[in-house]
Amino acid sequence: MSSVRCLLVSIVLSTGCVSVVDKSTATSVAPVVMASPDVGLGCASGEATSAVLSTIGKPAKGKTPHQAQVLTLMSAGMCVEPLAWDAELNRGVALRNGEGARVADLLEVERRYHATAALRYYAAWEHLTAAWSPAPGEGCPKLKSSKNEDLLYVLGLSSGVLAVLHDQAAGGEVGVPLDVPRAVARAAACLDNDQWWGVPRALQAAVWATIPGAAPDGEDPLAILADSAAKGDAAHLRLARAFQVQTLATLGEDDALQEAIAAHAAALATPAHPRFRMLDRYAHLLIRHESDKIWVAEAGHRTPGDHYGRFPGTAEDLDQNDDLLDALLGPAEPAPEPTEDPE
Amino acid sequence: MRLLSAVVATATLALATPALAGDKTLCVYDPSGASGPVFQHAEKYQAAAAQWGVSFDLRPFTDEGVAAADFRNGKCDAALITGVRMQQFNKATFSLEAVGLVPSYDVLKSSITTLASSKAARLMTNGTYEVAGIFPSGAVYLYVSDKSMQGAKDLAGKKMCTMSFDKAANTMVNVVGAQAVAADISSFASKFNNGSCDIAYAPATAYTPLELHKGLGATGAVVRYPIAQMTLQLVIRGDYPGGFGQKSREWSASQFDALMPTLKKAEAEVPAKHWVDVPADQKGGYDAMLSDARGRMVQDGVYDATIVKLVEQLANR
Repeated sequence: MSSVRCLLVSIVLSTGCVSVVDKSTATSVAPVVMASPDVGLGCASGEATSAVLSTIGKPAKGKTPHQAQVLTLMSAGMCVEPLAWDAELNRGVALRNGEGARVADLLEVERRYHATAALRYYAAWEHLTAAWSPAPGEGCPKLKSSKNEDLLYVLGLSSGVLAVLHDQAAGGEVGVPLDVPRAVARAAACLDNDQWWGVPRALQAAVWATIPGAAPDGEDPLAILADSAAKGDAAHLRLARAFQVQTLATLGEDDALQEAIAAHAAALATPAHPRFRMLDRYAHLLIRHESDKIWVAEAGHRTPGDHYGRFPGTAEDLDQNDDLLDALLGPAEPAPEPTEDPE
Repeated sequence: MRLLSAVVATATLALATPALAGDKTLCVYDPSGASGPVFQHAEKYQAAAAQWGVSFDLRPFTDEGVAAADFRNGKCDAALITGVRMQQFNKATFSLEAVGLVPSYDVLKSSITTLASSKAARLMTNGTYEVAGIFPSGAVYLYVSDKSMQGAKDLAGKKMCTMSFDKAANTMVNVVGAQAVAADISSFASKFNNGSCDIAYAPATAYTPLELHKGLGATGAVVRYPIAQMTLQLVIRGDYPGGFGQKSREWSASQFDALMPTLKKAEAEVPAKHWVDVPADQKGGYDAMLSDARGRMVQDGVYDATIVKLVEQLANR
């Protein structure tokens, strides 16, 4: 309770209590935010508090609640991402409809949202690098599990990868350094893969799969992603599946992509991990977007809610149980010959 | 005049109808797949082509050989690949990447602009293939593990990571008397970084993501002398609306300036301590070496003599 009071006081006074704000955010705020499946609410909280948090401490000297900012800025990034997705999907619809000028317009809309998302995720990454020493990829920091620091570290690493992806989609407007992904891949080795639902290895594999020559000898990124996704499914927190799906989409591995989306749809029958519903829901949104891209390209609209895990053009096999019908009903009668309409 | 207006109006209406010329597949090589900068650029092209009545479905490829093969085998209606893979589709535009031919981005721009002229259209077509756009992808520099390797003669006997499919590079290795170490895009950086090669060649865009600073270490350098210009080239085949290729080439040439900041930013990211200039008294050695290699490949029919002559003249203007 005292820490919450300090948080409020420090926000009001904009001074001191940096470490208390960090701790409060990690141990009081994060659990509440993470337990809610409402990604929009979590992201709005991040947008609302990030600017306030940045005034606490001595920002000019770099003393701000860096750990807390990892959470708030990553959450804030999640607000913009769906806007970029919508523009992308609308662009796909416009492309199908031959609306050339609208395609160009929506591409620009999409790029602007990607740039904002990159800005926020990169800010989260920069706070991660300021919060712990050594820098990501240079060694492993001592993370205090009792203060949820390892959770924030996982989120911060994910933010690093997301920052690069969004900046690339924005044409490099933000200038996120391209060596961030390899730093993430090295830093992910500092985390317990089993404890974090296969996410650390999935992050590594996603980076290795998309940077030429980045994978260490003997490592098969796609196999690691499949293992990690299964681990996440078993833990009922399917963030690793989202990284697998995004990577397969990036590589143009269409068949494997559809299989992974279908596997995710099947896994949704099991409720999400109660303490991390938001992350699981966020993973669902990421994966559904890839499904939507397929549906828009093939059918001109987003994935119908009752078709998630299925794809256009894959008609049901109507004849698969005809043997049962034959046994019960006998052979089908031939269709009647068409007759001419009476005059 | 009224008749002309009617024709124009009819043509405009035809272009404005929702139905596009039909879905076509554009296979895009990007080492980072759909999240990489080439694919993002292809999306811009896709938007432009949609305004010309052609709808492209973009497919990412992280293996350029597969992208080129799929295009050759008719699985793609268009391909966006590097110039070095274009030899099989158009020797003329492939020759734009000839060693030492294009010394600067200014010359590259004037070359691409000249080739986008309708007068150059016949050079863009080779049988059923048509080059529909050329984009800059970065000057290629030598990365050397020791700063002392500044001059052409210093490369003799050194191990050079060489892409096996890159005939020009293999010829150059022979000309300078270096020793080729077979590599590909997935392995050259790690071979340079772990010391298996003394020399690698790549645009500056490879420096940060592939962590080439590790191979440079404290003693290495990037030699500020473009040994070639890497380009991305768009090649099409099949039924396209009349004039599509020309319109596409003109649009592509117009993108040159928009693409330069990314390339120059990558060059600026290489720390100043790593850049070395070729000593003035040795620059002639490089020029002669590359000119010699280029001349041999023109004689051998690898490079197109017309393009080489054209660009040499543009460089001297």
